[in-house]
Amino acid sequence: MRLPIGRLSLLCRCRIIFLSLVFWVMSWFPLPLFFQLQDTEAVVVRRTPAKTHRVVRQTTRRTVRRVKVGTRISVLPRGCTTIRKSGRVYYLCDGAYYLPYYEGTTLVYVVVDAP
Amino acid sequence: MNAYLSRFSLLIVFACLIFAPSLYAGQQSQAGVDPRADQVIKQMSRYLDTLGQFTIHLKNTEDRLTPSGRKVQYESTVDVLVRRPDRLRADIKGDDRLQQFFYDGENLILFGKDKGLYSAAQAPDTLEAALDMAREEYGIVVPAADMVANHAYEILMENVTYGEYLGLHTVSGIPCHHLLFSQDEVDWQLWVEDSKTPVPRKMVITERLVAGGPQFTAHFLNWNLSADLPDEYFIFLPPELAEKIEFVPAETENN
Repeated sequence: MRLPIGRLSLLCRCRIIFLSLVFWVMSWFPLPLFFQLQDTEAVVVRRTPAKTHRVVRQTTRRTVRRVKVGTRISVLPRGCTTIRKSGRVYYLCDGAYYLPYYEGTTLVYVVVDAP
Repeated sequence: MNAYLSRFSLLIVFACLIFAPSLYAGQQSQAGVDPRADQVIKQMSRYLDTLGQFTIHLKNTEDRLTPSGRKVQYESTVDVLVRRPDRLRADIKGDDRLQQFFYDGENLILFGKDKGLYSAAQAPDTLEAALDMAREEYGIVVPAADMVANHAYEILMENVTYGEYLGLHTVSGIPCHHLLFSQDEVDWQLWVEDSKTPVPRKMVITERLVAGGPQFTAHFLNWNLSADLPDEYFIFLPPELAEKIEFVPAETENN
């Protein structure tokens, strides 16, 4: 999908180039679970000499770091701070609030709105 | 995570139910089940019914599949303390968890020691009812501890379609009746001690339909058949820095 780069503002162009670089780098690593975005995905199949990669390119105008409320993970990312409010404990990681629950005997963390 | 849970749970339910006092008599042998195998399970259930207080040390290994489909194995140990009719505790140490489970006659508590988080729910006043509730409402199956069901034999054999008596084999030098059962998705083997105390010594569950046939093995070690278990063992005192969280009700879980 080719973007008409010439017609966009400088800021827009910079964002697009920056994001493209980020995604290109990220394609070499498993996509972290908490980087789930709401916008549409374009699936690109790219052939390399050895094998075929499947690269998921997400087109978005928002920042990469927004996490959808309701996302569930089983391991917290690094660098979280603990927050206590209304008798409950939350973890704040990269701008997202996680509430811990026991699902059966497994601990899960669910993204919630800011308490 | 869900594959792990279901396999673990299945094994554990199985392990737990073995110990339930089985007042259920007159169970017909299932079609396709060798009567000798059926008889061994019955004897084991009846014997375990007679135990009032006991402890077991379980040493488990569990196969899991990595995202790339490779089979890897993890270990865990569980110490279970049971005092019928209304006390239970399980201490679980695994490669990915350190947990305690308490039932004190009034509450069920799950404490994640490694995370400093615990959850509690009010529970009925018998072990059987409490563990039913834990399983049905919260999806919690307590390791080797769901042993109060009055229909232990029936529950164990309920979905079994095939049963075979494989012979008298040894587990760590102990002669045991080696049994094989099959049901929809799994085969399970049980080794029941051939003695006046017919307790289970080993169990292996094989997921027959999954590539690689992942297994869950439980070794039942250090049976203490007449333990002395005072009340304090079953009381949970939250450590100072521990936080209370909630259980997710079972029906809202995504599978």
